Amino acid sequence: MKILIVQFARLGDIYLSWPVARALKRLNPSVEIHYLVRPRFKNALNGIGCVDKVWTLPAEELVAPLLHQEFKLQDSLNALDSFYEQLIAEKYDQIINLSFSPASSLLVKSISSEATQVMGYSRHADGYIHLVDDVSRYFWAQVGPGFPNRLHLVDLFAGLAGVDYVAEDFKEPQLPHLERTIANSYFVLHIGASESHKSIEPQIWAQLIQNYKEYDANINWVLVGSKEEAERAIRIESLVGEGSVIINRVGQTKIEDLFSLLKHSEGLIGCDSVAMHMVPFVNKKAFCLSFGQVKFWETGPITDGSGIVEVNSLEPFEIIRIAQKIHQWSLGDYSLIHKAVENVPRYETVGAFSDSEEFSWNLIRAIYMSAPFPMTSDFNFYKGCLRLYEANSVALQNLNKRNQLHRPFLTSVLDRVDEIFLAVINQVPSLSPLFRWYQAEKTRIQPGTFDQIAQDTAVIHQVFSGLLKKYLMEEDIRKAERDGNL
Amino acid sequence: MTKESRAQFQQVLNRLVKAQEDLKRNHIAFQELEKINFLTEIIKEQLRQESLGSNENTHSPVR
Repeated sequence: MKILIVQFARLGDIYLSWPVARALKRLNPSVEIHYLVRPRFKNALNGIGCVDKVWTLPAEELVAPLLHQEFKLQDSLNALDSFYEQLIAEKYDQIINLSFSPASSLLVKSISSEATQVMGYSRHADGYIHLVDDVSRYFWAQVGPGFPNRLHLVDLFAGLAGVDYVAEDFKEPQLPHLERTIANSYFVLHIGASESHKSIEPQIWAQLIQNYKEYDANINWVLVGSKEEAERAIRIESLVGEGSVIINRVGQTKIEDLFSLLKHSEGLIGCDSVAMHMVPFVNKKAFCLSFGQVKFWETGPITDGSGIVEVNSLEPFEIIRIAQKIHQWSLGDYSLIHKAVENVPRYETVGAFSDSEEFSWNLIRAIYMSAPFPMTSDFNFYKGCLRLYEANSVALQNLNKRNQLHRPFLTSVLDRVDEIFLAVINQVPSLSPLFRWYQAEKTRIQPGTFDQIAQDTAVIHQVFSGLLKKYLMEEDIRKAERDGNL
Repeated sequence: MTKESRAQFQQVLNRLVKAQEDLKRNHIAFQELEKINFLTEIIKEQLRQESLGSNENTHSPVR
């Protein structure tokens, strides 16, 4: 058996996919596992220990002809053809696409055959997005900025690949030289992040280190980061001055070195970054400063006992408070921070969510995880639900008598119903999880005859109707159905 | 990515979109269109990475 794992995202996401590849190998030791990643990030597979072949997307070869003065599109298409042919020749039994991106969906469709079992984003024969499995549809509908998901990416990957993790999947990387190189006890401080909006300025890190002296004057601080962050590290060193021991390794560490530094540390401190996703493999805890658009419950540190603090301001008094929380965390006190636990969802949170966010999450659990539907006394929610039900009834009634209707008429009715849905959701955003579920379900509809498509569409409206009914009174349901029949 | 190369990538993106539209208008070469779609997404990701990161859950159209 041969499996291709597609991961087009960055270093951190590749580390989050390690347990999946290891679990697949554990469950079937004879399986051949290949990875497809971007060239810049292939080193993140060093030490995974279960991968037989690493493919890299030849992005430069594909893009260079397009950047040519003459816009050599055909050369680019030929390069793509030749890359696809190599992957097709592998005859993969399974392709697991962990990328959740349009580009990956197009590639997966192009290199899979009818015999390939695809998991993750793909495309239908006519080019429409095909969210093959429940997890892909969940991801598309409910995950990302502004959406209510609370499941960690590492668990969504497991669900997509159909595996359950065991401790062995988080074992140490198979790398040489993981021995201790620094004698004193130290924290690893990752000063950067994958994106600028996730990172913290040098003077803030310097103040944090200075403030921490109050709790532990002997701890050393090992700074790590990319070459591009070298100047920031020098600035931190100069700002901290005497009194705290800084060991600056920024721009000097290979992946192996970073694992070694993390393994012998007292823990990792930093923002949402690649190092946060490496610590589980050396069984170390991390303390994550989470802010901005980052949702720690999707991508935060997962080692049991890791801590997260949501940073709303970087004023000096706030930094004093964070230093104190790091100290408390190092002593095992989680009273004021979010705590990573071995559970799903991955965190015990302290006041992280508003009432409306709690409701949305509980609604998602009801739709996807068979939890009870959450109660609400919000009359707008009820009214919105009723409007959706009324419009949905119109769609259903028309779909059910599709043989008596002109196709353009039916199509325009369905378009109008979708417009009404959207208008209702704009007025009552708390209904979004239900509407997003409906939208994602529609991606299951295969290309086919008009009647087949209409039939499949009717099934989705039928199930949608069942979900909406959970919130409606019998009398209103009957009235809506009567009106839809007119 | 410098301002110049960003502009160059944006220009490539515009040309790819035009190539897509031409193919769609002529209702031919569906496989060719899919490949151009792929290249378009790769260029879009290049441009997006500069500010937002590569693992966005960018939604493609549904039926």
